Amino acid sequence: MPSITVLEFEKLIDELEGNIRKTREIAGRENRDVGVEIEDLEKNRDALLREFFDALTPWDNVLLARHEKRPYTLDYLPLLFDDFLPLHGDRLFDDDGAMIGGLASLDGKPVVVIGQQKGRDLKERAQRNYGYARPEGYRKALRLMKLAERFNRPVITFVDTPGADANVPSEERGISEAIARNLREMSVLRTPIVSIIIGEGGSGGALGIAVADRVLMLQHAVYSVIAPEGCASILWRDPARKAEAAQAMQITARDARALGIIDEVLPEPLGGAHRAPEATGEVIKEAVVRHLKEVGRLSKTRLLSSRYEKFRSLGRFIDPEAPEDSATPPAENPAVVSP
Amino acid sequence: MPDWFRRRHAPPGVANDSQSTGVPDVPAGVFTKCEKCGRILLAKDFERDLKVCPRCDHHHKLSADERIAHVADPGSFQEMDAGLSSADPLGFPDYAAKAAKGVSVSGRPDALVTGTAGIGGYACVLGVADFRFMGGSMGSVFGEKFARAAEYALDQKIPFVVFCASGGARMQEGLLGLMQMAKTSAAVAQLAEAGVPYVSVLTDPTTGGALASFASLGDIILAEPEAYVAFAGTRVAQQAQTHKPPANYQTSEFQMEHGMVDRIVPRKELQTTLVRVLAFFGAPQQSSPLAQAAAAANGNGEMGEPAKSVGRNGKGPH
Ligand SMILES: [Zn+2]
Repeated sequence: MPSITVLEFEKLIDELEGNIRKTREIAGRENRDVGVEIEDLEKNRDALLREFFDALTPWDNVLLARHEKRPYTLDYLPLLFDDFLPLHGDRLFDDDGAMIGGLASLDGKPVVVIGQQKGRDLKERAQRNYGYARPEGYRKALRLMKLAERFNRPVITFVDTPGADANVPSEERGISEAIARNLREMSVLRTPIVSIIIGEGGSGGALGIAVADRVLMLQHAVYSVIAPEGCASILWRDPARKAEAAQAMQITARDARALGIIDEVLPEPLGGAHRAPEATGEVIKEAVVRHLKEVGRLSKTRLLSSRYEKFRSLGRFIDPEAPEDSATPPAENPAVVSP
Repeated sequence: MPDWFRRRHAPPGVANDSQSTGVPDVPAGVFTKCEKCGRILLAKDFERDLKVCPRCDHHHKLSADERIAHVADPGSFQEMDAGLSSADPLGFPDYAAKAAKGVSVSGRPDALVTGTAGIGGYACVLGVADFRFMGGSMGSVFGEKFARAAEYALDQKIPFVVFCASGGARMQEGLLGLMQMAKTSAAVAQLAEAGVPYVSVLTDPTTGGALASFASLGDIILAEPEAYVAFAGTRVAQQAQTHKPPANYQTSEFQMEHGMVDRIVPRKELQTTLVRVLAFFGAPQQSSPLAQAAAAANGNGEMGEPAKSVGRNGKGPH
């Protein structure tokens, strides 16, 4: 168990990389061959990275998911799609900067892309409300999904939000209704949907664009019912116990896969997506294309019944009247069923 | 006022249930007092008034059983899936203890009670959340019972009426808790697609993941007066606030003003309002074969015992 967080660890790595750079510079000036030396330093760096990343805590994954350099939706779009035509507005009230959407083409095939977007600098963060989407964002997303449905185009959504916006204006304009409506409508949308959790999958705000045929998740992304700080302050009246809450809630990609919440964990480059966004984009693209191909083969009826069953089956409980052969219960508790 | 009302301590043999409202202790059983204005009320009047304070109109929370007794025709309620209970899928700290406490306080194995009922003679499937069980939170049992009840309504083509009293997704079930939002909403979508009516009644409190899923999806959405109806809790909201909230922020009245609720209905009018709504939908009368089957089942079995097999998991009402 590492005693420092991933952000502290990254400072060490930065130092190491500084050394590598300096060695290169000196070698260049003195016209000296340092190939072996550099290779050694790089090996050392990768070994450290591997060791640290093998033992990441859930809280480290939260820090990585919120990393200020982590690639956002807009960073991935050019890596996945040949073009992207952004479209704006919910046709009701406003355009939400925290929710982007538009038309794109994936290997030449037209798709609708929707994604939550955080800001890179202060100005953009304000414009995008730090990725907290407002009712207008969910309604814009739904408008574009309906467009995709009407023209039989698949929908690809990128999830990256700390949660939906909870300010007075959002409450006034029905943030709950907007999310609820998306949950209902997405569950019966007559076109394939693939969602990728690329960073923070913050509660209902994330789920509001993630009721999909396939839900994929980057290795260091997190997906949770409530932020660890919120969980810790409610349960233990102590937000400082966030790491403990992150552990208890099982919010990592591996946890989500084990619980059957997501369909696939997409591996990130060593050290996290921000160390190699292009490589991460390639991994996402390969997976999205593959999953779309699979669900694209299903008839509309089959597609919808599978999607319903997928979410219908999520839950673990004890049913004393369940026929014993009707479930595949975990061995240690034969009464627990996942219907 | 009797002399003992002025005593700070209850006389021997009288339970002390004082809440720290500055109101004198009240002997249990005979008297009770309003949680909001502190008025001392005769317990039997309080029950007769459906736990609504005659002075300040505060609607006190009801248990699932009290709610069912208020809205369902006498003897008509046939419970479904009464045995489902939480499995603590994450091994979450203190979950088992909290669930056990919920069981002892509510007398139910989880936070949602479902079954078939008659309301003014109209057959429907009724779901009632009980806030006393872990704040009415939505765990796997809640979602499963909701989905089974909706599927039964779909199968029988009778309306689904749900009373919400819930703080949202159950943290102790992590992502499985969150997914109950999708599960309940997907079940409602099946009703909508098939034209089966779904009525949602928001009671105190309806917040978070409950409001952001099934509670906001009713074909008709009713609410009790002054219920706390909110997306984010007050504390969270205050931290995030850049706008000054109005005085009635996050109440039923606020939600109706902003178009999120069809109608605020005082508790004493709730049953008759539901009857009018069900009449509009053309819900089948309880003299239908379903009602007769339910009545027959009621005659030969106790509540909670299986009577016949219907529906997805072989569990019909019984
Ligand atoms: Zn009162």
